Amino acid sequence: MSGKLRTQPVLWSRRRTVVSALALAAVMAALPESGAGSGPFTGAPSALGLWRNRNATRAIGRRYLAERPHEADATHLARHLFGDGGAVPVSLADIRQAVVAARNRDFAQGDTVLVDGWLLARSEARLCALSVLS
Amino acid sequence: MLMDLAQLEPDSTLDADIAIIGAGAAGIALACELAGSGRETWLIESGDFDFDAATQALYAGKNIGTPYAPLDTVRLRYFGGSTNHWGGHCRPLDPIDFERRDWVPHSGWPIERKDLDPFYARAQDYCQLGPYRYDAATWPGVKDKVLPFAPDKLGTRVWQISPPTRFGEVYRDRLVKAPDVRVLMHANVMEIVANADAGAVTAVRLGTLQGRTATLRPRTLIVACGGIENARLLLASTGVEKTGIGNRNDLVGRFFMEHPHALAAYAVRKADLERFALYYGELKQADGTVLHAKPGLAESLQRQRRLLSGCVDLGYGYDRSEGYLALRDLGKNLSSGRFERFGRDVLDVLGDLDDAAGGVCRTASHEAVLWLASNSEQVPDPESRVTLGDDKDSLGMRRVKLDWRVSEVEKRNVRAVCTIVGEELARLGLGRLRLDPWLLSDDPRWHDIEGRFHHMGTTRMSDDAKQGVVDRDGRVHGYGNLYIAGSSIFPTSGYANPTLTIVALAIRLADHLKQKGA
Repeated sequence: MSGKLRTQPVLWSRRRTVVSALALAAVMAALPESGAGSGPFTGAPSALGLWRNRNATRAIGRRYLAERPHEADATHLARHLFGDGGAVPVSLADIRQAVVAARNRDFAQGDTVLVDGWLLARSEARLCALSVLS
Repeated sequence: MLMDLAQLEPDSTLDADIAIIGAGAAGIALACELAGSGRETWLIESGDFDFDAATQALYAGKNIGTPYAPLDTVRLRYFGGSTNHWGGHCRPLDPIDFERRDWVPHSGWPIERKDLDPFYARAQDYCQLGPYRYDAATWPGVKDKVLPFAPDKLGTRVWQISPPTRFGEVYRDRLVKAPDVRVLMHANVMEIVANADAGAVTAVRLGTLQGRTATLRPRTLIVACGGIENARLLLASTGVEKTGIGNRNDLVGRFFMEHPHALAAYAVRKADLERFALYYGELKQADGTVLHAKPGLAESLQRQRRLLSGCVDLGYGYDRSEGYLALRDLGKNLSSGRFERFGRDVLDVLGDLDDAAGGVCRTASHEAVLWLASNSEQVPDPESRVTLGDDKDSLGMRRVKLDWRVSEVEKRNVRAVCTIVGEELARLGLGRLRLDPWLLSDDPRWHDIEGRFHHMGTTRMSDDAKQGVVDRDGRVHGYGNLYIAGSSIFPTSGYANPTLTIVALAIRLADHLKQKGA
């Protein structure tokens, strides 16, 4: 998939939410079980450039959802990640940009969660939660 | 003139216009300011010009509250006082520190920061500092070192670093040569004597460790013995007021405050260490002024979230910290591809954090870890206090008991400050933060708490005699000629090191006495 930025200023819809959630889930699923990894899945994490380890992702996600079971819904999580009614990212690069923007916004607004003492942007934790649901 | 009580005639009676008890930062600054004023000023020092174990032992006492260092190690009892071991960090209190804040019980000074600004400016010289400028933007040499924190959350709080000035060494000759100053050595004040209606001090009883005694009769007396000893001396002077001089409202010794210090968090550094140079180090400016800085809470955020004043010490290379040890292990695990602990997986899963952790692995350097330590105001607490115990020192004076209280409020504040710093480090891509477990636990106790040897609040300032021991001029309520100098008169502590404020208040008091014709 191209790394070039492509976003479409369309109205938010449940279908779009699901598409984005599924795109993320597909990337999550392609992550290696642990470590930087090698083999057929090596390209996926580097394409997204955000994480490397599916087990760890899911561990954070499980911890997050255990404390917030009402968020255990892929649509809900994706909507929070990309916002209501805004441009919906449809490419890997767009998703990455949106995730980074959400993370920076969270830190700026103090919208953070603590996981094992680590200070995480809520969007980071929600991404991990999405991986649990995928 | 230099005098020694041990050399005076036994049971001498001496007269003075002004007597200052204690030759520390406050006492020496006061004496310097009064020198040349035509008033015969006596500066009374318990010790010698060098450390003496027997004199120092007079400071021993008992800690009965929050764990604290032995009381005979947290201050020094010889000419120059605790400036003989201070680190030289200087900064004025912030304007908000002087305000009455409805979320900080017992807060509020009767004076404002602007009232003290001219005296802070003069105090700079006493502490051998640069110009009175504490805004990083006004120092061209550090502007590019200031991290671009969101101004509504954090600011860069600048300190100036004194050489550090050893007041005893630097000002000894000036005082000894001053024609109207008498420096009296080896003179321990054992009691302040008041008149029958407890409205004025009439005399001070002096004694040496060897038993030589004298009586000093000052027209004006200033007690400047430090945040613990000021209270002790008032409480021990029970000839007229049975609970101690100036203690008719049971306030002397209460509201003891420190700057509680503990490692609170660490961060995996992502940016070059040089980016943090202003914060972990000291940067010398073109004019010779040495600057240091800390990330501190924005005043607007304190108001909005009802927080105490606070900032964090930021450093690196604490190679015994939990942070370093954890990250050292992480580096090894990254190398081997093992991820055994959830916390380490957290590090691995987050891209920028992952990169930084990889740096730990590659460099195996503890410099990759930034540590954050608390530097916070305390809530004034009347139960945090200095009292007198039953044990007596070699002069027959009752030793102190210190019941230092640190509350859950301060712990929550440290957590809030660290979290905000962590948010900003992450937002700026400079590092990622992990809070220490003790800070997240429900246990109100702190882990490895220490004090900074900043003793404040025990004779607090207020215009209301029911709320404070001294008035806005430092005069003890109810007494016409008794004053207190030093950090014991601080109603709140702020987070800044107290010495600059101590000296500023001493200069202000000297001006007051001169204007009053004391």
